[in-house]
Amino acid sequence: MRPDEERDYVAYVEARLPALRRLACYLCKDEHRADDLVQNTITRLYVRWNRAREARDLHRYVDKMLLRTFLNEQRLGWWTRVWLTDGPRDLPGPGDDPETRVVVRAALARVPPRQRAVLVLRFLCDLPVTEVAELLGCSAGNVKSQSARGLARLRELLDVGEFTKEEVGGHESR
Amino acid sequence: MNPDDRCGSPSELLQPLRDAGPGAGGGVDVGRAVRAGRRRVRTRRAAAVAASVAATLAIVVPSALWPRTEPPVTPAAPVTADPRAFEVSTPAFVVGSAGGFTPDTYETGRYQQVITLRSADPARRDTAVITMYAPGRLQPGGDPLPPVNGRRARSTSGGVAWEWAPGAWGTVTLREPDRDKAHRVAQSVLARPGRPVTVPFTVDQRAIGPGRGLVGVVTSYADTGVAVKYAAGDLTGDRVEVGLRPSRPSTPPNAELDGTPAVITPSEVVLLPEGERYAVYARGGDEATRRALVTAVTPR
Repeated sequence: MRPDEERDYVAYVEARLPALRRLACYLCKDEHRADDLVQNTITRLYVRWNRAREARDLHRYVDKMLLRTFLNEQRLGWWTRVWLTDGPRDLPGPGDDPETRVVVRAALARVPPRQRAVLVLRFLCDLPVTEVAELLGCSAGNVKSQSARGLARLRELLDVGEFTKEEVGGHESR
Repeated sequence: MNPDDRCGSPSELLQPLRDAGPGAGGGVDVGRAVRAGRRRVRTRRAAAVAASVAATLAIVVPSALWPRTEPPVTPAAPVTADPRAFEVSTPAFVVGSAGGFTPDTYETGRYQQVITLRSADPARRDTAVITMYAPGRLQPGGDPLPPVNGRRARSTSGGVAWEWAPGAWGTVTLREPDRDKAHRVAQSVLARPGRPVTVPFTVDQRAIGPGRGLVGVVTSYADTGVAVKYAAGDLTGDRVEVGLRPSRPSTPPNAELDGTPAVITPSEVVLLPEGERYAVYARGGDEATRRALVTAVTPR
């Protein structure tokens, strides 16, 4: 990579890092694992930078790369991951209600990875079904069914009542 | 935890995670990614060379995928390396989906670049507009807000303004004002010059008129349309716009221009080439200018 391309890469990654860490934190059980995921993604991005920078929507290209890295890691197992630290893995982060957050995060982490990715993209990143389908390389119908299953599993894990049709319907129509 | 506190829509259920986000700093190291990436590139190159030698195969890699074309006609303002202006036909920012909005169109320009967004939910008609100003073009008032990507932000009547570079501000305005959503949209904007926009048609200079030059290119993210805008060199006076968009079979022609069916309304002239899926349209200026513009377009 030429020096100017490398500068471009570093500038992009540094600017995008907060958003990538936020998405990774939603997907992973703890921040350390999320950082591993981001580290792995930006390393892959370096290798593919010349192709990536040609993408019409670079943000989406990199988000897709992060999602695929996440799903591949889940499929391939722990030995493919890049461990950065030996620190504790379940420390609550800053916020108003750390207890609720830890409970919800733990429940979300127990939802199967692909369903978890769908829930995160739709209900935390506010993406429409079509965009989630494009990011995950599947059909819109598949996204909807994964959403329904993921929500059911999350509800079961959190032991909360069922969503009413209206509550889910607003999202299902996307 | 009281389950009733969490029980709401799916978004409300996950709200505690949205509010928190990752802690500051973190263990991600860009320098480490660069070093690891360099190693991987070297390894791949070495493997590729070894494979090609072993197989004694020659692989020809095309150096260019397709020819790129500049927008028709030179820019209205002088093309100089002005640090306080954008390149007229080059997008200076990348924008992602955020806050329930997704980018719809991008309009380049020397002193401001405008991105329109639509609701990510097709059932809703919410829209948002991001206007990114060149340095020194906007100095917003308003109350201070939490920073956007580490930079100063202020409230505006319909949303948020933030300083995307020293002395340069951008704004996000939502049709239904919502400062949180506007803030999230602003966070998805990154300053990163792209390549000049390519335009799939040419326009005869005689139809554009003397003294007018290119002031911006409008493209849709879904690749459903593209247009160029022209104005006088000093950017005063009216602007004219000519472009391509999908033709709507439901629109009946009410005129004919050079033997081609057309729709003429008080604000627009639309040419409907037979057998084509696109329509050529022109807006701005007087009707004679619009008529001349649509017939001066030649698809490449």
